[in-house]
Amino acid sequence: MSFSGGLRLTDLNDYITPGQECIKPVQAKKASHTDGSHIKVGDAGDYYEVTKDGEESKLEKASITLNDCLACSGCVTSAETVLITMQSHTELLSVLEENRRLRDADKNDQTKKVVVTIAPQTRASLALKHKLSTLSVAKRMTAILKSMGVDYVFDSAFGRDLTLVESAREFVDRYRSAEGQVGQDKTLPVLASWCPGWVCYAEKTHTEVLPWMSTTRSPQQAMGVVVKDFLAKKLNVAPDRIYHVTVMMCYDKKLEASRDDFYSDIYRTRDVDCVVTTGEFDRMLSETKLPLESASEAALDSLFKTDATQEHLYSSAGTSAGGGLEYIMSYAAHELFGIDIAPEAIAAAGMGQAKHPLLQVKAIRNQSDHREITLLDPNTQQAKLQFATVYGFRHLQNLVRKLKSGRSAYHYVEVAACPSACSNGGGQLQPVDPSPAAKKQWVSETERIYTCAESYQRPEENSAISELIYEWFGAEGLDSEAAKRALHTQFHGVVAQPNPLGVSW
Amino acid sequence: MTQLKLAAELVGHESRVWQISWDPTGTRLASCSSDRSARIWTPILPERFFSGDMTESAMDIDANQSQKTSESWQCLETIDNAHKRTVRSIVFEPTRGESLATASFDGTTAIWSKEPGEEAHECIATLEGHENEVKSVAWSPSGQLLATCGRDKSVWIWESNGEGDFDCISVLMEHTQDVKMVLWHPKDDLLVSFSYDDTIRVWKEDDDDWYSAATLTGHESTVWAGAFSVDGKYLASVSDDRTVRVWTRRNTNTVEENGANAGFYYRPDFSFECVAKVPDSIHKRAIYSVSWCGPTDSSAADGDLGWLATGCSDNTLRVFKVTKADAGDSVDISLKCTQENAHKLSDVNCVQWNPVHPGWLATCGDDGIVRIWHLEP
Repeated sequence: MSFSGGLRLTDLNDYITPGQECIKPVQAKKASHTDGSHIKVGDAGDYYEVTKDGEESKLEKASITLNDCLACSGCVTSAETVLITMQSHTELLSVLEENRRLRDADKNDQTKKVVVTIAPQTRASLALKHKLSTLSVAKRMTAILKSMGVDYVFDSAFGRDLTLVESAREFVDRYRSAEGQVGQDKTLPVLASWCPGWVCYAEKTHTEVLPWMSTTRSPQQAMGVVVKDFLAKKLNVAPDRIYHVTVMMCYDKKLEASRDDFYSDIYRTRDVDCVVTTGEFDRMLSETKLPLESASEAALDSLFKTDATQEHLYSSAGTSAGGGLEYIMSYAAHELFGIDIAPEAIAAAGMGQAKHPLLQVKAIRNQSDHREITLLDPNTQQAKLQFATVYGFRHLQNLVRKLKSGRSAYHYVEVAACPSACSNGGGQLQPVDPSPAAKKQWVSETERIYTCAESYQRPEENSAISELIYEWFGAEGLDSEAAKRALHTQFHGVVAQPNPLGVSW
Repeated sequence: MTQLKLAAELVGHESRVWQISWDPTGTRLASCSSDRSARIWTPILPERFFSGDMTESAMDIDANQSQKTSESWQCLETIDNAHKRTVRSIVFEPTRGESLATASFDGTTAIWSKEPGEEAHECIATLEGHENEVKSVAWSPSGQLLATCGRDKSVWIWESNGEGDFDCISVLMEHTQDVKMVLWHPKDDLLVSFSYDDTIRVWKEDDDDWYSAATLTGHESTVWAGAFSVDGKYLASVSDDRTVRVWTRRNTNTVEENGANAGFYYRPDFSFECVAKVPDSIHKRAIYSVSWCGPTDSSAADGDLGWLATGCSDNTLRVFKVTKADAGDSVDISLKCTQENAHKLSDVNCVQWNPVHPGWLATCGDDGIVRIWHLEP
């Protein structure tokens, strides 16, 4: 060892160099004469670059959008909360206010059609807190929102039917293409991509798993394209004159809505303009003094999963993750092997409520958040389809490790970032008692309310959806190019830029 | 007069040695370093070495000029291609000592195993998941659980799946800053973590869900390390604030105490109270490491709680005697021995008492050398 034991400047490993974690490389268009220039702060607080010759050029502010900010774990600013609140119920209220002002000024041609889409998990959470049925919650929310000036109130479960069918078709295509072999190339397994928390995490930290992600849009974004494309055409309104708000179970849905993939360059509009969480919606109700308890009930709008009499709210069988696993297994069992098994039966077996001769359900380490559901061949009892649910960060870790080392044998994995899936979303209502025991109880009650439907309706039974598909995409329906473009999306791995300041030479 | 005699020097690492770990038999010592390697050392004749036979005359630190390992020891193995960056923490599996875990600044924790009869350890698993540098790895006394922590402020708990690999069973994100060390309780299923956010957290399991059962506040700066007393009743912690604090558990809530509303209202499971403190005048700079062993005298009195050794950034190794105080739960800590420049003019990074042979202490430091000392009380 030749280094002297004397004074040594040790590297301060605890110091997080600026921007080391920041995934937004600030792109500055610099001219070549960068030597000798320095920064000057102007009177108005603007920054100017002054070159050696005394030339001043105003520097552009580096901006970090909501999309970039929430995806990054080491952000220098703590303004995440500020950016999140920029997309909240106050935005909705101001759009409604603007509409009122324009109508009063007789400028009806400038007003926007306001559409609000509500998630069933949100309705379950509100139902639990306000002690109402989910149907009543839906009707009261419709009444309240319309009284505030909203034009349409829809159900994201409606758009979810599109997602379910398209996801199932995608799975069957990929299964056939891989001939059922897992891990040969990146065709199987198919990983659910409805959860934006999971998508952002994968894009940032585990880009190798992106090829496995299902490219079908999530229910929120499916509704987004239904509203901004199909509905816009039907109402003969330009898409940018529709303001689409969704009421969802978590904050990550705001991130999802602001992705560039869901922004239309042509119409300069987002498929979903604003996401309000369940908690923010509840807060809005108390701020505007329009409580659910005393609201009247209004008739539900057309894009709602309900029957003609509007006496029942239909649900899709499955956990609050959305029913993707159950429907896809049912669809694939029929398409690939000619086995008939209802999604409701798969849901019941998956949740441990009933046994089914063709299904083997195993909870890994006794955790309901990580279950393996295997479809057996009726004749040989061999495993035909191996699906799994992976809810929560710790189970997600194990899934990613198995995928990377090629030890995963699943054909389809329903992934959700939150334990107990969407009933426990970060934006859902919270119980009064903050103890862990009470929280657990609250979440399981929400899940129970969500899954306890008087009647399930499969996408193929939803005649409104089939009519919509053919009206929108023509005779080819979901096989058309337009449908593929409308209902699918892409993922983008974030490439970490090594910060020269952080490298120890 | 209590003295520390230098018994051996282990030379070989090419830069600072971060941590050392004894195997459960106390005959092998593992070390890890900034040179990205781990080494395993052993006395050539352990029985003779630990009986004091081989160190009749005290070694002089300056004499060796640290050119080579003492003749009484040998380097059994060098694990060279362990990691892509500094290996920051190393620990032997505590039940059989056949496996090792190393944690690195490259964000991974590697598990090494050696078949009996084999020469070298093989990497049988790599645990990924931490976003950046992993600072510490600790193996539970049962050998079933592993804990890691790092600069990403999280503590991860892994469980052995029986096939040599580990599954992540919990990711705990309640610290608000870099977590420096994790430590398991010697008897109960409790995990303790020490952090740059000046707090110590105690984690407990409830139906496979790990949660923060207690937060110990009091230190005025980064808490670098900790050690439990042999019976697990006391916890000693050391900090950048130059103090050593000893804590004991209080108020374990039982169902009967809570009455009819048991479980309905949130109460911390238990709290830890600081019962003793070594003032900040003793250590001149940040204290990086602490180790606690039982009494070395077989005929020790009832109140003898053993010895605390601390490794400090002021280049000094100190040994304290711990005894039960007269009043209540408190303890008395008295400085018995000070070894200045234990690692020449370098920080002492880690101190570890030998778990089997009483009074033997291993230390390592920024000078890249591992030293073995014997305490002569």
